[in-house]
Amino acid sequence: MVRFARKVGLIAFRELQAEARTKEAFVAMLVFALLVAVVFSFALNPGREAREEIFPGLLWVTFFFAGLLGLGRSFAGDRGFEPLGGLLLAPVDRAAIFFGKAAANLVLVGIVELAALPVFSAFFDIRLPLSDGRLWASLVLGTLGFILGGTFMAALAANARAAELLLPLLLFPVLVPVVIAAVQTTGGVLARALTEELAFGYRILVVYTVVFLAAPWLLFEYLLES
Amino acid sequence: MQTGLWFLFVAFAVVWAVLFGYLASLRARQQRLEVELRSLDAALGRREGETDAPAGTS
Amino acid sequence: MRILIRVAAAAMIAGLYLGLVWAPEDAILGQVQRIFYPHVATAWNAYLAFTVVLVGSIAYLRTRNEAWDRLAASSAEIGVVFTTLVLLTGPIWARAVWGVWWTWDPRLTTTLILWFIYVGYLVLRAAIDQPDRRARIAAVFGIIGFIDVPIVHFSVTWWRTIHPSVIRPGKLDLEPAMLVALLVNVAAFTLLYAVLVACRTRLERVSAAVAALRERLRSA
Repeated sequence: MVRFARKVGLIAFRELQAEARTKEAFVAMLVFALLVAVVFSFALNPGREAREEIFPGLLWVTFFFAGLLGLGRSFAGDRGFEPLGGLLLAPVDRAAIFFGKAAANLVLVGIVELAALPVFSAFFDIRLPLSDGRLWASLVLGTLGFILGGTFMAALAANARAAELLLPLLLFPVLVPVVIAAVQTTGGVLARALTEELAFGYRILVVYTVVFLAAPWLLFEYLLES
Repeated sequence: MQTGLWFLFVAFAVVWAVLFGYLASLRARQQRLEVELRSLDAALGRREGETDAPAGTS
Repeated sequence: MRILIRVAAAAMIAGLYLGLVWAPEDAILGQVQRIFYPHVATAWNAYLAFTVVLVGSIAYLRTRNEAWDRLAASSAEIGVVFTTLVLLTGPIWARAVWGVWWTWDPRLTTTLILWFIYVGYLVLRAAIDQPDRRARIAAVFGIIGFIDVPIVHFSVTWWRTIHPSVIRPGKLDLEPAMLVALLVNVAAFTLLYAVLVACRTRLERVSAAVAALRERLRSA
């Protein structure tokens, strides 16, 4: 278990190191997220009430689309007939590769989200209840489900032609539970809804996360065969 | 209930049109494949005949 | 095979007759209610088809027998055809009974997402050229897609309860004659599904043979 965690950490570290050298995906995601905030402001120009209503949806849509830019790349470098050429030569568990890549994506998307959050809050004049743990639970669980499902689908799409075109097509239908539950719980917290009303939404996020934590153990190795 | 009958008609027409359309597409694909299979078979036979012949004569 | 086709055709005609003529007119909804028979029959078979995709996908990964992959691919395509029918007849019903073409009713919404998932499955297959890789990757997606469906359904149901809809689907109390008509229709469409799967897997077999021949011709 400890050895497995070390392998995952090592792969995640290497991924992040490679990303830190170029910062390509990170910069693209961050700038894209901020741009979307601006574009939404122009396109919707919402009044006070409408702003509160659409804010959680806009926030998550931005996170999903920005994250998609990074996810698409996480297996792209090794795409082709020999996926992950370098990494697969090492006798590392296939599952460790998945969780390493997912952890790296989680860090990158997490930073982008933390950077975009205050900007969105300012642009749409929404005060975020930062001391409310439920807000963070919604953000963390939603992001976790998105990254786990997204990393898996990115690995899957990397086996096909035009993977970057295919990824959103395959990912978003499968991501529907996260889209619904993340937006509704974040929105509920902002609207000061009762925890009981949102409990089922959190439960959906947890179930989704658990399923996509378990699936790679059973299925990920099939995606890397050559 | 006139409109009800109209909706009923449209629904059933759509169901049967899609089903027959799908059957027609299956048939068309099957025929196209069979034509290709025959031409490939013939081409392969010719090719193998050619390569066999010189070996036989020499 | 020939017998199966004849029985399926006879059952489809019987279903048509029972649904359109023999079953009594619904007291509240009137004639439109008869859309119900093919609608439920196609919906049931769409679920059956996608379950077969799951079974074929798991069996392929276990045995690496291409026949399982052909079964999964065929069943997915037919499932998409049936789901398309559900999504076409559903709105016609909705327009006639509720006055709108579409409502975000949990069952409608889940069916729509189901359609997207398996259209994705077919697009994915079309985007991979090597047969063994296509079979393997599609099988993984076939399993994940299926596992996801119940979670989608729960989330959509929950979403609807916090966004109450004005339109409530009326409860259908089925008379015995209606139930008979429904069951015959379900059976007829299931037979049709069996015929279609048989045709479609044969197509897939010939297609694989053509691809193999083309490969041999290239290497010869």
